[in-house]
Amino acid sequence: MEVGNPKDFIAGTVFAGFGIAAIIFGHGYSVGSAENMGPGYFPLLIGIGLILMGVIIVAKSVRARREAIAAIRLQPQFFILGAILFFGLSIERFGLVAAIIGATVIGSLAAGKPRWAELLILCLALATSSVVLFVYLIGQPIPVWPR
Amino acid sequence: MDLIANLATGFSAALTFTNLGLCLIGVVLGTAIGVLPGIGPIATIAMLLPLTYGAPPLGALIMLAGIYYGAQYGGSTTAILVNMPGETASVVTCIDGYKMAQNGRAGAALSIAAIGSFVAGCVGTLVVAAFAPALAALSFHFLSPEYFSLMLFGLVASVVLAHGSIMKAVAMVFLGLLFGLVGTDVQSGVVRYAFGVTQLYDGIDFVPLSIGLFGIAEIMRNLDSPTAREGIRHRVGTLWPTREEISRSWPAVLRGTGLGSILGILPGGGSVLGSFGSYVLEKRISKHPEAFGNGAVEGVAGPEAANNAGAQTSFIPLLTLGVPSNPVMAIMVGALMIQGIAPGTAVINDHPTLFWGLVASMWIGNLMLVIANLPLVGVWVKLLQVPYRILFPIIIVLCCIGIYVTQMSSTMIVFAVGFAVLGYLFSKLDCEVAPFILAFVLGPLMEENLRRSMVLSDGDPTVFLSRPISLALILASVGLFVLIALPHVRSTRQQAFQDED
Repeated sequence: MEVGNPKDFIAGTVFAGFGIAAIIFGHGYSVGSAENMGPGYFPLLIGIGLILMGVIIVAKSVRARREAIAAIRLQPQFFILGAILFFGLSIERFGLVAAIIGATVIGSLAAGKPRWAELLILCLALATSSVVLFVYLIGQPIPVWPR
Repeated sequence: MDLIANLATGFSAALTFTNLGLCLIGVVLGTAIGVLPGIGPIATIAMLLPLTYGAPPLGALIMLAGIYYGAQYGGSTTAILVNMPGETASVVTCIDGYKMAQNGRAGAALSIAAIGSFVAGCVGTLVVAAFAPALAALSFHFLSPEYFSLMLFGLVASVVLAHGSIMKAVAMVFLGLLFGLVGTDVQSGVVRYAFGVTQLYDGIDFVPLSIGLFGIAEIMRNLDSPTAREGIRHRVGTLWPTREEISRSWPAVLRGTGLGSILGILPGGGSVLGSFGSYVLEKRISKHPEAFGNGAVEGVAGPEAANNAGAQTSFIPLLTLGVPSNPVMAIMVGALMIQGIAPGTAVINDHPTLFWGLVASMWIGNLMLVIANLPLVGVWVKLLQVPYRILFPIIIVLCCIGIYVTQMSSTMIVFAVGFAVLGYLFSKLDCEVAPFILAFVLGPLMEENLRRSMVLSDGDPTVFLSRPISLALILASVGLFVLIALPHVRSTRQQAFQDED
């Protein structure tokens, strides 16, 4: 299908989708009445609002002038999210130092070919300063080493 | 005389060696992170929030104030030196600030911005000190319908200030409200939209949400177009403004301060309205309107002052009514809650030392800004010259630690990744996140007040129109909406935002 403005078309669909999901997953919450609203009343209003806005945005997008979505490069995004996930999944088991080094290495792959010497210095500097600052100076109970 | 006695209480509480040290650290770190291109005050505060956990409540607040003003000034520095606004409020600073930098007057622009901000900060602090107690007294007239209408006004204002389609901004408000509902409903005890995840029973934590949406999503956005970043191409030059620059700046600073203070109090306004308003005002009354856009010093001095005055006075609705009026105040609520303080009238009445200490700390934060930042300008310039491939891993690690320590939970980091994806998607679809985050914070408050209002009125929705304060707020909201629908205002709004992208 030829759509005028794909950005708005997708945005409207996403909004309406959230609205439908809000109503489907919220169907078990009792709605109550206007003078005595149950936990389902406000969610229902919001769900309807989202669907309404979504439909309007989609309807307008079909007739709008063409506007392409800016280029998306998946590779850097993958490394950035990977770095953060690595940090989250490793911190409790392997400690702050390992989590920082892993996240830094994975993260910097997002910028293309790694420059290893630079990366090594960055890892050491980040790990040392974070441990000193957050663990020793501020006293956060973060595990530092693997256990 | 009450005012002076109260301020004296505040200063005696705030002016300890430790607190001054915390404030200094806050200002320096806040600026250091705020200077990083694309990182605005919201992401900066969220990232540095864990630094304040160890301090006692007043010390933590003072440090936060330092971080906030530092972050804001850092944003202006980036705007002037590399023409990249970290937040909406410094968009106008880019216009003439960057031109001044191109003319070799970057140093002068930076010091005028700092001094203008300081003057505005002093006045703004006094406004808070003078008006907050009065407004707190007025809050006895505020029942649920007034609170609901006030928050509605704030949301409408955030829609008006969002750039791009109004429809999408409204939808983002609804979406923010929906995310705010996640967790246990206080009135019925029903757990909503938690899908069995225990970490969601208390609602979605603010820190992973804001760092994901603002900090991480921003990195993802920057890496989409690696060539788009500009470096510093011009010499910073002397920090000393010329006599002519000073004489042109100071009236602009005073006007900006006045305008910013007033507009900052409005819910949803914050510092953005003030800086835009001030720029337009300066251009209109100037004898040389053609100089604007070519490095007019008034175009830096006025908006920067307005920006900072608004940043101060936007604390008023938060401290008196407990209603955060813009996204930055929303994160301040989060910070206060972590310290066990529920913002609102109770702070003034029950914790006067804390309240007046905070007011005093605003002033101290502004002073530190001038003292610490001008000598450090060279450092910030160096920081901006660091290539992004080194900067962004540092930001990633800071984000991760910031999220992890809020709850000592790695689940929060997984949430943040989810919100980063969402934030990146929103930016690709031209949906602004600011209305979303404000609605997210206001959502539970709005629902509670809506339900209470309806109980109060036996289900009669006209309760919002029959009470004078509420009626005024509803009319103001409707008025704002009608205003942006008018073709003339619409085109001005588009013009105001066009330089941003």
